Amino acid sequence: MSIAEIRRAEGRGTSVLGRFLRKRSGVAGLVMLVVPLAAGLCAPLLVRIEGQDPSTLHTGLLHPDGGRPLGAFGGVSADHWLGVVPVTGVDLFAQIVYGIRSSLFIAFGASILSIVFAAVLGTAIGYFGGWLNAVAGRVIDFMFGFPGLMFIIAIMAIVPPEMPRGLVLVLVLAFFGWVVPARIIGVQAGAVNARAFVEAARATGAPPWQIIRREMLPHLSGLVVVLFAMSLPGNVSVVAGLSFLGVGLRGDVPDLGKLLSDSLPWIYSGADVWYMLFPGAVVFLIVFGATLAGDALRDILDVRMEDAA
Amino acid sequence: MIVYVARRMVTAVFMLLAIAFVTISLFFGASKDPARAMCGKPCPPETRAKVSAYMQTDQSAVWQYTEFVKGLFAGRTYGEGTQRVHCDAPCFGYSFPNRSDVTTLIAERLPVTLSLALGAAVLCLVVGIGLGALSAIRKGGIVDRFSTGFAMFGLSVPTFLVGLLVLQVFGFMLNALPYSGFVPFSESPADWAWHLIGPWTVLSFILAAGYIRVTRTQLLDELSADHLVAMTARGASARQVNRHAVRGVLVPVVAMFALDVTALLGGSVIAEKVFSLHGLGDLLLSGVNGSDLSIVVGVTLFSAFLIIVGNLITDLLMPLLDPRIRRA
Amino acid sequence: MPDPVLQVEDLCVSFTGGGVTADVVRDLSMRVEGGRTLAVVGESGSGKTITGRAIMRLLPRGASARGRIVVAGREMLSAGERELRQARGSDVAMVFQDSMSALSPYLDIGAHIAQAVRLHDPSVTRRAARARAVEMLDRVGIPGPADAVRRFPHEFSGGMRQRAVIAMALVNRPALLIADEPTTALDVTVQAQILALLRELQQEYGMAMLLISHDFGVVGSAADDVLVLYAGRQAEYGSIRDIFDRPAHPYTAGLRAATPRLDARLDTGGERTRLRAIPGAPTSLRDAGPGCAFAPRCGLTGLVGERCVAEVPLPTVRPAGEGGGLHLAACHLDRLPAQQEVAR
Repeated sequence: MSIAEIRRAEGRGTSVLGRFLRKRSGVAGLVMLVVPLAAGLCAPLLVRIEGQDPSTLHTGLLHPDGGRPLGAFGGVSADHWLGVVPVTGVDLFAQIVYGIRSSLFIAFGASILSIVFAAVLGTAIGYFGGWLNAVAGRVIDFMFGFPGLMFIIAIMAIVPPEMPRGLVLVLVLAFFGWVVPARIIGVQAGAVNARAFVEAARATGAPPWQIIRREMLPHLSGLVVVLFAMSLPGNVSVVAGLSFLGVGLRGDVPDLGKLLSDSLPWIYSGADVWYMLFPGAVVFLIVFGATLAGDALRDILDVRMEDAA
Repeated sequence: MIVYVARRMVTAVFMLLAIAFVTISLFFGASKDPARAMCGKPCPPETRAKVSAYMQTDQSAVWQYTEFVKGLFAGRTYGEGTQRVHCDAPCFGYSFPNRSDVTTLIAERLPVTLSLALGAAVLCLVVGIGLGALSAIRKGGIVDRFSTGFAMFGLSVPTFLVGLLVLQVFGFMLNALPYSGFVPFSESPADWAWHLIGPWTVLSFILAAGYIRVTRTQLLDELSADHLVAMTARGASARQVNRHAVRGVLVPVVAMFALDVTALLGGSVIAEKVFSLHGLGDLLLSGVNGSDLSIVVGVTLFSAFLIIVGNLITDLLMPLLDPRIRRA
Repeated sequence: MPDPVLQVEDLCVSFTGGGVTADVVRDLSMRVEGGRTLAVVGESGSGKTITGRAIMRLLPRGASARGRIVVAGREMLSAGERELRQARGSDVAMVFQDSMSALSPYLDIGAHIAQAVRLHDPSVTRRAARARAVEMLDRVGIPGPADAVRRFPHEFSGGMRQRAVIAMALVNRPALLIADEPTTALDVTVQAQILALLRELQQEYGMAMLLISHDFGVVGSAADDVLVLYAGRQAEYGSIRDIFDRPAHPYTAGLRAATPRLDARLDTGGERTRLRAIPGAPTSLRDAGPGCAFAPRCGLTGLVGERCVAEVPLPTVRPAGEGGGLHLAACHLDRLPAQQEVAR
């Protein structure tokens, strides 16, 4: 028995949370994720504490020629914690914390939707196998042929103006997000289904849903949680990326990707790098944090997924 | 083997047709009428109907689909008389705002995207497999720790963020790299590469992470695998054994690459935006912004075509690496 | 006495890692002659697999061997890389426990055997090597050998795969075969077939065999001599009859009491005997003290006293049965008490 195995055996008695808290990278990731998340949730409060709002223009703080913010770090001051946006003079901190909200809500929504669907489908594939497995396999192969990001961009182009873009984004991301998780869960569920205890339950005459709920789901829940944690950063990236490309959220909804997209001319000219760095850092924190936490969770729950790829 | 190749190719064609069907019925069935954008303002209903008939967007989705597929193989003609425009096979649609068939537009942009994607693919495979192998051989060493962190970073950071950073640091602050523009390979290979280093770095930074991980775990598995010990026990030299281990690593790497063709194209869209390159992604975005559905559909389907061809190539490559598939 | 095919003297194998060195095999000696089978028996972790690997110089990274190993007149520990390659697969071959992982998933069965042939005789053409493979598969009892050479390992059943591994090991007619738990992963009926096959091929080729096993049942049906390992040391050595009928080490006696036997009822006049487990867990190499490694689990230390924990027992000669031969045991007790008391 190696030392790692002994440690794992010792750890089995304690809760998942306890083991997670003992993992430094996981805790760091969680903090990186939770701080921006909390900031987004408390956006109105934080902005009021700062004494600003996300729409008032402060043209007085801008250079009259070209409109770049006056002062160091893009106009950082006690009044404007992260400076102001060039040309309009809107408070950047307010824009960012409100921007976190939209990005994270969409990403969470899409992740939950796609993973729930993947879990249901994957478990069904694993339990029933046979023709369902064959059909689902075909559909999954078909989905792999789609040029993901390009297709999403194309769909965002034809969204009618009366439809809420945020909701459409959630649906579209979920539409592409279930494929890989469903395949991984399907493989794993098939393996669990072949184990002796499921066979034993079937022999006692338990109905399918009971076998799935009592015997299979407990063995799949870890995987599902890990897949959720790992899908989150991807979705945050894509939401921000779409806004960056100018096809994400529209109108005056503050959004991290949109801020970054708007910052492009300012870093091309080198006039206001901070306009990119502040929102960029926040996106980075969220995505990197979610990845670290997901990775730690995978280690702790001891989920192996390589065999499904 | 012949059966395998034939089956793969037939599957690929069917998949392409199915994706085309979904795409066309989704887009041409959508409420936004592409004729409205062309008709100008003000747009009386009868003019609009005429334009719509001319652009052939007044027909059902199924009709449009069959016309599109026909156009791919036989070309397609819009309108009559002096207004007649012809689009040669393979026709990916006609862009009326650009007065050009989409195939030509794609052909203009393709060299940029291909240079970008292929170069990035090579770079990320070299870096990914190299770092992965080094970390496996010296497990726990400096390279291992560095590349584990690097992989974690690359897996998580959004493409455009890396792009912006590379652009900022190397393009503007250090002035070390050109920050935009594309030089065709035929004009000057050196300039071509020089202008693409930035985008290549960005794309492979994102994609290499996966290969580092796969190569590392796979090689570690292989290095301790019983069948390699057994090979040594048969009297094979270390070089012969290593050569065999490489095969075990390459199989999952190639399988992974098939899935990454999609990511590569998606990444190019973003890299093109960051580095102001005029490739397929830029064409798609221009179609989106100009409400030019022909371009949107054409580029999307062409990308699907690239992905499926990429998958087909890896599918055909696999049996060379893994003889078990040859028997299937 | 004929020259032994395998001779091992004072073999020590140690692992180095993280600045710590641990001996996993200590002061091991053995000899096996052509046509004879020596079984190496012990619990998992007793060092039996490592001993087998050390003989072929197939030790994992971080492990090193000292002492003397001679296989078919070749000094293995001082041999160069080239010489080793010549020896491996032609003088000494190995059969592994897990036939699935011992075969490359990317090569068909024929390629494995042909590789073994051509590695030692490059003048053989590919076609001739494949023909040798067919021949060899036929010899180990695989039905339809001409067809079977083109199959991949995953297309075989466990028993057939193990036959293929045996064919691969024996194709160059090695003088010594190391069989590392060759039947552990198989069904009982298949186990018997594989053991019979090994026995038969051994007679035919006159080779020496080192049978590594934890299963006293397998050992009883296949071995001529037995070496019992405990914590990397020789606990007892003797002919199969001596080990089974006159165990001189309490560990051997315990192992025997833990193995079901048909003849046990006769011994006790038809009364049921209970199988006994040896209490405690195998001694960890890390906390090996100065005394006998088995002392913490031995029920008989009371008969000896302090010496068991203070002094390592050295192998000493014990009485042998009518067949004669060497019988050694490393125990401070000169004689074990009567059977029933041994494993209390």
